[in-house]
Amino acid sequence: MGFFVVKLVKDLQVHPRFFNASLSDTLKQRLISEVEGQFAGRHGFIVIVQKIEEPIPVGEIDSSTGFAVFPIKYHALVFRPFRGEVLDSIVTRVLPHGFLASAGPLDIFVSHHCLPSDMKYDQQGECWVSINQADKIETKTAVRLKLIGLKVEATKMHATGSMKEDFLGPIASSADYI
Amino acid sequence: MGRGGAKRRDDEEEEEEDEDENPHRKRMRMFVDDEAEEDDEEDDDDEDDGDLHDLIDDEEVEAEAAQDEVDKSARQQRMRQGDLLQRDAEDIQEYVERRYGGQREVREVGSDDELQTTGIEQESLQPTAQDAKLFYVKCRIGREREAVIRLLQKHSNFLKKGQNIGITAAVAPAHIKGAIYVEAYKAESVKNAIRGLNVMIEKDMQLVPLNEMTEAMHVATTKEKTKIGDWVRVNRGLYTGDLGQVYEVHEGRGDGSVTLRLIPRINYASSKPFNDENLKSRPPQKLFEREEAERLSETYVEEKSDTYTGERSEVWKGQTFAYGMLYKRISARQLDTDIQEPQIEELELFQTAEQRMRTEIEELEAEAPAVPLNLSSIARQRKISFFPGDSVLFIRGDLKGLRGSVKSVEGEYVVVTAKELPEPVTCEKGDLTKSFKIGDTLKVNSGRYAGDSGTVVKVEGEIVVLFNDVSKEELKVLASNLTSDADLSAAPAGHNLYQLFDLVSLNTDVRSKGVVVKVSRDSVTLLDTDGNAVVKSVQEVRGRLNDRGNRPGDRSRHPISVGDSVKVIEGPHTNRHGVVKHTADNFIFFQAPDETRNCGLLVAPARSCVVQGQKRGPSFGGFGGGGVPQFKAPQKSFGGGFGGGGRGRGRDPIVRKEVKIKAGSYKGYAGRAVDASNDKIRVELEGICKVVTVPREAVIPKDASVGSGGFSGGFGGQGFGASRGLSGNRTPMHDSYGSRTPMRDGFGSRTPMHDSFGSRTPMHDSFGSRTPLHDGFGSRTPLHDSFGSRTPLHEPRRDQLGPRTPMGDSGSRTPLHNSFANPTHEPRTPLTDGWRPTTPAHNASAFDANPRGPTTPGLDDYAYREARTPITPGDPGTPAFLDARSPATPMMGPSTPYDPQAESPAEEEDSGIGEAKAMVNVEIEQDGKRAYIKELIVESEPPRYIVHFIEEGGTTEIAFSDLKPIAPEKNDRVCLLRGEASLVGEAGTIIGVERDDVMVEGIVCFENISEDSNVRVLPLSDLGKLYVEGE
Repeated sequence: MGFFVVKLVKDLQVHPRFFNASLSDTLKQRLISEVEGQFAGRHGFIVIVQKIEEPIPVGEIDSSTGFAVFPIKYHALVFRPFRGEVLDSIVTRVLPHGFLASAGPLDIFVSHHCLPSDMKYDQQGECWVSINQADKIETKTAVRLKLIGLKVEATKMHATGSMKEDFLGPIASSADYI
Repeated sequence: MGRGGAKRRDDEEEEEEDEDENPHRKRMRMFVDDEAEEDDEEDDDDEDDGDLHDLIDDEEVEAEAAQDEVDKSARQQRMRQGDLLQRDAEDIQEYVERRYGGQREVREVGSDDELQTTGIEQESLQPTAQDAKLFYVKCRIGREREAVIRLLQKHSNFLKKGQNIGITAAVAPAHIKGAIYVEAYKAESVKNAIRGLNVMIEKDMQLVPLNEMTEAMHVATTKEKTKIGDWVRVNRGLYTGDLGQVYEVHEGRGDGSVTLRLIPRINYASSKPFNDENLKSRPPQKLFEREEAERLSETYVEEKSDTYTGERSEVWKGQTFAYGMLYKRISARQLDTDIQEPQIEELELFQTAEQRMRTEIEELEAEAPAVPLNLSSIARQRKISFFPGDSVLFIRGDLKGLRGSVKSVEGEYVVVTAKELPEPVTCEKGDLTKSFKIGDTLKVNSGRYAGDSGTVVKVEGEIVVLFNDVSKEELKVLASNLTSDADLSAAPAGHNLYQLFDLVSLNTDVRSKGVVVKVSRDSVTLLDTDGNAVVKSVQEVRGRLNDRGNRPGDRSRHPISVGDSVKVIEGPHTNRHGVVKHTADNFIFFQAPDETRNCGLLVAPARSCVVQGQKRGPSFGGFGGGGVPQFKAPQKSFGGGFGGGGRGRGRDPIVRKEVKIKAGSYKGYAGRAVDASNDKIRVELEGICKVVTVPREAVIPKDASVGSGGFSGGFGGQGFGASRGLSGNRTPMHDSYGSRTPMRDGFGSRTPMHDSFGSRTPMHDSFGSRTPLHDGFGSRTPLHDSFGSRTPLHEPRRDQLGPRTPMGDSGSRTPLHNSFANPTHEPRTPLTDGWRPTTPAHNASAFDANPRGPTTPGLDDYAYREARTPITPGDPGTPAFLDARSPATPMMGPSTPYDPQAESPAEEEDSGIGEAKAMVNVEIEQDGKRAYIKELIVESEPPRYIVHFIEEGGTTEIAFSDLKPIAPEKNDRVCLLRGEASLVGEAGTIIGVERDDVMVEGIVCFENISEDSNVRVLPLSDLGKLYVEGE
């Protein structure tokens, strides 16, 4: 999985009532609560705020609202998937035309075209089974996928995966993995 | 007639060629045949003619010999290079042009004595005033060719006599009936030529204007000869409209005929499987299956292999098949070369056939068929529009097989860049086809799915399978319809009034609501509240709706608003979760990440959902700006709102009820309510067959007494709501209140109240979650004031409760506290069970208050507000009720009498807390008893808490961990119970509440602390709300 540390800036708007001694703490808390777990566009998903750059810059009062704006610089650990990347994920839903898996915050769709050709959909079990019954993909199976398509939008990321290559497919110790 | 000689020479050339380039023989023969054919035609014309390409003029006899010499050597040289083999029709044409074009020059120079210094450029070939003129000559229908041949004969006869007939050409274009064109310098010559030939009508001769000359000839020449490998459509017979590929071209009469590869339409079982007549019931397109044919028709399929090419084929009932395709000979007239947009389905069948062909070739090591079934050649015949950024593949020319991307498009030319190329190349559109790789994100720009987008999951020749991650659908699209668009948007860019995820209602049924899950050019697909996806035309859709104010309550009556995360806990979508996109009445539309249909949208009744966490931002919690619109909901459907969702929050509870009209011209009538708006109800009368509209106030349900029944059942939603719905008439309610007196008495025992207190355990959580924050809060301030200053509110009550003075008196404060504590603290009791028992009290208050003035409606509202307060946490009704009391609402009028009191609580309050700084309502952890902190011993470390039990009395000291202070709200007066030693026990006011995921903090302004440090942010759990009713 592609994790990166990136330096980001967040403009925090703060109500004047917080202008007190604990302002910097308030800002830090606000930053963490507003930013962690969010999707940061092309940077991917912000996993955690690692460091907030000190000193916290001086805020500027917005004359129209009375709020102060603090451009806070911070280092964040982000999860940014790339096309062609191989990552492990957990199947969340199995469908007749493929399955959906999630790798952390990223949802990946794997079309049946991108499954090995010996895998068939089992209507009853709602799972994909290979002809020799060796592999079975059902909900909560851990699978290793290759991302073949990635679409970055303003608020989310869509990924399309493939399992049709060597070394891709269900991971044996799925229970341990989870 | 020098052409005979020319032909012979050509044949001789052939033979020469054959000696050194044997393998090319076949192809060359074809070429020569073509030429011979041209020769034939020209023989017909006898003389120079402007036919064919305007360029191919027959040569003058004098010029021929010399010119032929030149051509011959040039051609031989070319053929030796062998490149003619690679050339297709266009090249041959070009060659012919070159050859004959030069001769035209020769002719013109020779005949006109005019210097044509310009080369053979297109412009110079346009007819000029000096050129021969074209005459349109009528002739007998069907004998056009005969007419031309007669002219030829005449010319030939004249030549023998040494005369010139004076015309330069005669043409009978195939598409013109009953006329021919004759070219001559003078009209007189034409007349002379025609004279005596009875097939032509002399008087109907017309001169073709100069500017129309090319056009007249052009039409004839655009009729392209179908070539082997071309894709065509059949326009007649059983295969009308079907796509086919030209396999063989047979010259012959008229336009000749061709053998096509088609996807057969055979009913194997039928006795006449190739019946062309019954077009209506023609069988579907299907590849030929040998086994099936043999089984169903009980005949055998013969196998045949072409003696010449070795190609294998199957013959069944006289028809030839190969690779599942039918080889059918069809007149060339029955073909359309314009194949329009081939459908995916047709191509798929051909693709399967191609697959079969390939496997057969591989498995049997058979020879590749002479005519490959090259599907990508279709692209050449279609108009593909290229866009910058498209990835393309060269299918022709030197760069064949190279991949590149479009840099720019200039008319018919495309500039392509490729890694392998040092600089961009300009090429014709026909040289390119689009090609995409798996994983590309593409947009469909034409065809059925125009506007959709998706990621490529499969590429199969021309067909690309896209996966649209919004609609979670798979699309099969032709590569030529796709474009790689970097600027992809989730919503299809159709010119539709509506966009994806719009909440709309329909013209046909105004009450029905749906969310757009798919937008097409002139229709939308809606997901309705029943969970069905329905396609509606734009005309059927009434308009977009705004659902910002609509906040149906979830299972525990937390209002659900757009953007909330919800989880479904019952119904078909149990355990699905997602983000709310829209709310419609008491349904919510949410987008589940794991749903694949309808753009992932699901619909569920709000009550079967649970809000997970809450949205951040100003519209925090259940309060915020939404209160006002909410107000309408209870007015309209009080029962639903009040009873916690009841049966239908969206539909007015009065609808379909039997009602009576109490006022107006229809007074006394009974009927059934069929529709209701905010203030009017439409009633279908029983007595006269009529539907009338009456004010809401004038209508009561027949079973109005339900109201009181509902009361005892803890205001069981519907029943009570129904009676409330008739706000005009409150008599039954008062009755019911009256009858409740015993309950009020029963109040003393108050057991249920303990329950309510006992159930306060989850208080902190729920309090946290509904902490009214920031901006949204401001609007409610008056309300809180009235809350915070409960004293005046209760003061009159205490008075009213005169008989119970002992209770109210400080001596036995406990019960009094109880009753006061009730309204005071109930708001935080999140449990339904908790509030019910308290209802009587409030009702009592309402009832008692009645004498105070003609304030019935206001009082009622007040009563409800109070009654509803206990379920405040997250209840959608609460804000509404609160708003009902806000000065803007008409209800305010009647209740005004108390508001002044309510809003001037200062003195009382101050006196209340002055010294009793530890008068904090608490709850004891283990047994859930209610108590208040009587004394807080600050001096010790940690502080000690002396607690007084409310019911059983008695005072004891308890550790803080066993206490559960009732969480205060903003604007509450509080006391710090632990923490900063200097502040413990100090009283202050919460001026704001901050929450994050971990804890709730209150910003407290302490009263007796010096100015500069009197504001602190403290965990709310460390604060205790002060008892304003204290001694």
